[in-house]
Amino acid sequence: MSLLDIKLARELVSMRAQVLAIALVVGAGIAVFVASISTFYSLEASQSRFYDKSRFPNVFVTVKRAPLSIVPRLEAIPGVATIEPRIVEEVIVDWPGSRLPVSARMISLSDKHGALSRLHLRKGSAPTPGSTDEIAIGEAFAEANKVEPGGTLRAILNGRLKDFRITGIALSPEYVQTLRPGVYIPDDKFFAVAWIDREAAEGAFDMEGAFNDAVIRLAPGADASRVIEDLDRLLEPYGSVGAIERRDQPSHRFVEDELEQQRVTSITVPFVFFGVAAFLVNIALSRLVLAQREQIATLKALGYPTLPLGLHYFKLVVVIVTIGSILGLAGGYLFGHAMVLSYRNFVRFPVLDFEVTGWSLVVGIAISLAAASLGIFTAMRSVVALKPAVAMRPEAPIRFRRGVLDFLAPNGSPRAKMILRHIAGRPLQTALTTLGIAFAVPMVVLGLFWRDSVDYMMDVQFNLIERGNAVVSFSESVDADIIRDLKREHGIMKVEGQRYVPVRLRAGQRTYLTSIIGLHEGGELRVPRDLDLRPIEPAPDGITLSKRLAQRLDVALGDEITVEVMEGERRKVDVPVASIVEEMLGMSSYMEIGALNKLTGEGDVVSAAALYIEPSAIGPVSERFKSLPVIESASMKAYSIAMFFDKIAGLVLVSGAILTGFAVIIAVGVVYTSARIRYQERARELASLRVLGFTREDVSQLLFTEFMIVIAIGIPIGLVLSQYAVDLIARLHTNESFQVPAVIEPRTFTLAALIVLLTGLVSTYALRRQVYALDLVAVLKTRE
Amino acid sequence: MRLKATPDHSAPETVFTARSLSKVYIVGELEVRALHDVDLDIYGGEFVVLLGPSGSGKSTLLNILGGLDSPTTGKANWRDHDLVASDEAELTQYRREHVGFVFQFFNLIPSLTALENVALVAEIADDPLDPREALDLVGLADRLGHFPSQLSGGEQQRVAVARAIVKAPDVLLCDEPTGALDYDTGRLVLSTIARANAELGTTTVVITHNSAIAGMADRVLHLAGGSIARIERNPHRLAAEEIHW
Ligand SMILES: Nc1ncnc2c1ncn2[C@@H]1O[C@H](COP(=O)(O)OP(=O)(O)OP(=O)(O)O)[C@@H](O)[C@H]1O
Ligand SMILES: [Mg+2]
Repeated sequence: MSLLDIKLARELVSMRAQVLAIALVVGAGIAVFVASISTFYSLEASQSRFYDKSRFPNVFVTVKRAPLSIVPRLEAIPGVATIEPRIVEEVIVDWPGSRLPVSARMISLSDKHGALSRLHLRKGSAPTPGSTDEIAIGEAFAEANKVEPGGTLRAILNGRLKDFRITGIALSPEYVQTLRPGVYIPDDKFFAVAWIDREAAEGAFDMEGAFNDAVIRLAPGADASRVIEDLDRLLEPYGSVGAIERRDQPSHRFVEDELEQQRVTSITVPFVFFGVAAFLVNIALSRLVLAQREQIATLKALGYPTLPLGLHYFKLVVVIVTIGSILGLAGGYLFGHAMVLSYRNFVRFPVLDFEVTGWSLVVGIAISLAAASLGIFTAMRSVVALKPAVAMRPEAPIRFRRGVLDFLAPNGSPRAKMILRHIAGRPLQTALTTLGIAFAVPMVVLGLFWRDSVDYMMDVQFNLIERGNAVVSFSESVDADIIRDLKREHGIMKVEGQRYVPVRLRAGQRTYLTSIIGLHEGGELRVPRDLDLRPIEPAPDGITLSKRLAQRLDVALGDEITVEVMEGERRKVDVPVASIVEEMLGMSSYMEIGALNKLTGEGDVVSAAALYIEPSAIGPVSERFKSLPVIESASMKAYSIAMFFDKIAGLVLVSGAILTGFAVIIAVGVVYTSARIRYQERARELASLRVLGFTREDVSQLLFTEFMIVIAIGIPIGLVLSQYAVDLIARLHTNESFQVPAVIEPRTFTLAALIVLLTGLVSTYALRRQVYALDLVAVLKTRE
Repeated sequence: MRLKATPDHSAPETVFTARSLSKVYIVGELEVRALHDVDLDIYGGEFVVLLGPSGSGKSTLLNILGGLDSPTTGKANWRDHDLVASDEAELTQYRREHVGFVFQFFNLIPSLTALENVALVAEIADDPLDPREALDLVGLADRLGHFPSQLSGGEQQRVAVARAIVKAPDVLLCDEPTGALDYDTGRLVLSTIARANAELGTTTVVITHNSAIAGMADRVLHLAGGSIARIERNPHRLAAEEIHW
C-alpha cells in the first residue's frame, strides 16, 4: 500500500461522517434513478411479453351483427394475418352481495389453434369447449369480490336468468386495465369481464352463425389504416362503427399512457434528484479537496506530479461513489420493488416483477463518478494553478470588508459584526453553502407536494365539477321521461339527464376516441369549469373540450374539429371549439344535450343521469337501482373517490412518500456536509478565537449563528426554486388519466422548510461536539 | 550515511545562476518589492547561508531557486534547467529529482506519521536513503510512529529536515531549519545538513537569522530590502560542532 493510500485510508476514517453523508447523497440519487428507469423497463417488458404470448390483436372492430360467412372475405384483406370473429355482449349480473348493479362484458372464446387475445389463466381452467354453462372471469372482478373457481355467476340474458359455473380466473391482454368506456376510475367491484364458449354465446345471444365483434392481427409490415379502410367498407352494411387500432383500444391506451408517464418519471424525477445530488456531491468534494490545499501544495513542492495526486483524490471519489452505489442499488431495489408492487393491482400482467435495468445502474454510477470527479478536478486545478510557494501558505486571511453586511446590525456588538463579516468575508464559500441548503428544499418539496396535488385534483373534480353523488348509466339511450320517473324515487333529491355519445374527434391528422357528454343548460350536478375554475355552460353551437384533449388534438378556441359519431347513423359533423375547460380526470368533451341529440339525429333522449341522493337514503336507492332493468350501472362518488385513492392516487402517493424519504436523506447529507466543511474551513480561525479567550460556548454559538443565518437565506431561495421544480414535474406528468396540478399548499412549504431547518439544527449540534473536542494545540501546531 | 560519487570540488562549477531577479507583490495599491534586481551564482557543492532581516526576501529567493515560485522579471537557472521558463510539469520533475526542501512552516502531512512523511518522499526519489536512517540522523529514531500533531515544533522541524535529506538531493534548500530548535538539537540538525553537503556534495542553501551559523558556510549572502547587500567569503569553514551561539 503506498503512503498516499495510507493517508487516504486515515482520512476516510477521520472523515467518516462526512464520507457517509456524501455517499448517502450519491446513493439517494442513484436509487431514484435506478428505481425509476428499472420500473419503466419492468413494466414495458411485462407488457410486451404478455402481448406476444397472448397474441394481442392489432385491430378491433364492433358490428351489430354479421354472418360468419363474410369472414373469409375479411381474411382476404391484404395485411390481415388472422381474424377472429367473436360475440361480445354487455349483460346485467345478479350479484347477491352487491349494493349496486353489476354488469359484465361477455366475450366468446374460440378453441381454434392460434386464437388471438388468448387468456392467461390464474386459477382453474377455461370453459370446456361446447359447454353452455361454464364461464371464466377476469381477475380484477374476482379479486374485488373474492370469487374463486367453483362459484356461480348469475347473468340476465335476454330477460332470463342464467347461472354460469365459474371454472377459472383469467387475465386478458385486452383488459390489463378494466375501464368501462367513459369512466376514468376503475370500478372492479361492479364490472366484470367474462369469457364463455362460443357455442354458449351463440345460444345465449341468438347469434348462431354470426358475430358482432372481431379482432385482427396484422401481417408484419401491414398498414393498419389501409386494413381499417377495407374493414370499414366491408362491414359498414353490418352496422360497424369503425374499426380501431391498438392505440385507441381502451386498456392498451391506458397502459401506454401509464408507461409513458413512468417513462417521463424515469427521466424527469431522477433528472432533478440526480442532477441536484450530483451537483451537491461535486461541491462537497471540491470543497473537501480545497480544504487540503496546503497539503496538495506541499506534495507538489516535494516533487509529486499532479497526476498521482489527482489519482489519490480520485480514489477518495471511488470509495465514496462505491459506498453510494451500494446504498443506491439497495435503496433503488426497494423503491422499485415498492413501485412495481403498487402497479400490480392496477395493471394486470401475468408476471410483473421488478428487475434492475443493468445500464441504469452503470449510467447512474458513471454520472455520480463523473460529477464527483469533476468536483475534485476543478478543485485540484485551482490549487495546482497556484505557485506552490503561494499555495503552501495558509490561505489568505479573509478580506474583511467593512460595511457589506454591517448594515444588518448597525448598533450591533463586535461579535455580531464579526459574524456578519465572516459571512461576507468568504462570499464564495457562503454562496456554496447557501446554495446547498437552497437545493435541499425543492428535493423535499418534490417528495411532499403530490399529496397537495392529489387533494387539489380531488377537490376540483369531485367538489367543483361533479357536484352530485351518483351517476347511473342506462343500457341504451332512452326517452328523457325516465328523468321524471327517477325524480319521483324516494331519497333522490336532484336528477339531471345526460347523454354519452361515443365519438372519434378528428383535427387534421390527430384523432381521439372518446365520448361527448351532453348536458342541459343550467345543470347543477355536472358543472364544467373554465381554466379559472368558473362555471361555464355547454355552448349550444359548438363543442367544449377539456384542456388536455384540446392539447392532444392541437386545437384552440374557435378551431373547427370533426366529430365522427361512433353509433347510430355514424354522422360526421364539423363543429367549432366553443370553450376549453379544466378537467382533472379523463379527457372529456361536452355539448349542450339538445344540440348533441340533433347531431346524432335522435329526439329527446338520455343515456345517463347525474343524481344527488340524500346521504341517508343512498342504501335503499342503490337497492332500488338493482331492480330497475334500465339501469346498467351506477357509480357512487364515495366509492369512486375510494378507488381513486386506492389505485391511481395510491401509486402516486407511495412513490411520493418514498421520494420524500430520499429527499430527506439528501437534505441531511447536504446540510451536514455544508456545515462540516464550513467548520473545517474555519477550524484554525476558531481555534485562534479560543486561544484569545473565547469559550467553547462562544465559539459554537458563533458557528451556530453564522450557519443559521446561511440557512435563513437558503430556505427562502429553496422555496422559490421549489415552485419551479414542481411546475416542471407537473407539466411533464400530465397524462390522459389525470393531470398533476402544480399546487403546493403552505403546509408543504412549511414542512419542507422545517425539515431542512431541523437537519440544520442537528448538523450544527453535531458540530458543537466537534467544537468542544477541538484540540487547540493540535490545530495551531500543524498546518494543514 | 551512504556515499555517492562526489564531484570534484577543486574546480567549482556554477550550478545556480540568477540574473536581474525581481519579485513584486501587489497588495491593494501597495507594491511590495520582495526582490530587487538580484544577480547571483552558486557553485556546485557550495554551502551558502542567506542572512538578513525579516522581510528582506530570503524565502522568496529560496522559493524561486527551488522552483516553487517564479520571479516577476529576471532569469534563474539550475544547470541546464530554466527555472523561469519551465512549465509546471518540468518544475515538478526538477524538484522531484534534484531538490530537497525544508520549509519555513515545516508543512508535514498531518495524517501521516513521522516515518511516513519521510517515506513519502523516498517513495518518489530515485536512490533514496532509508527513511529510518534519515530520521535517526536528526535524532528522532524513537518517534517514528508519531503524527505531526503529537510532535513538538522542533521535532516537526527535524522531520522536515529528514524528509529533505532522505532523497540525497543534489540541492538542499532550507528555510530556517533551526528556528524552532534548542542549541543542541540545532547543532545536530546543522551537522546533519553539513554532512550531506560534505559527504554527498549537495549544494546547500540555508536561510537563518542566526549569524553564528554563517561560520559553517563557504559564502554568506546578506540580503536587505530585497537586494544582496554584501557577500562574505569564509576562508575557513567551521564544523557544526565548532560553532556557538
Ligand atoms: N504572498 C505575498 N503577498 C504579499 N507580500 C508578500 C507575499 N509573500 C511575501 N511577501 C512580502 O515580500 C517580502 C519578502 O518576503 P520573504 O518571505 O521573502 O521574507 P523573508 O526574508 O523570508 O522574511 P522572514 O525572515 O520573516 O521569513 C516581505 O515584505 C513580505 O511581506
Ligand atoms: Mg522567510
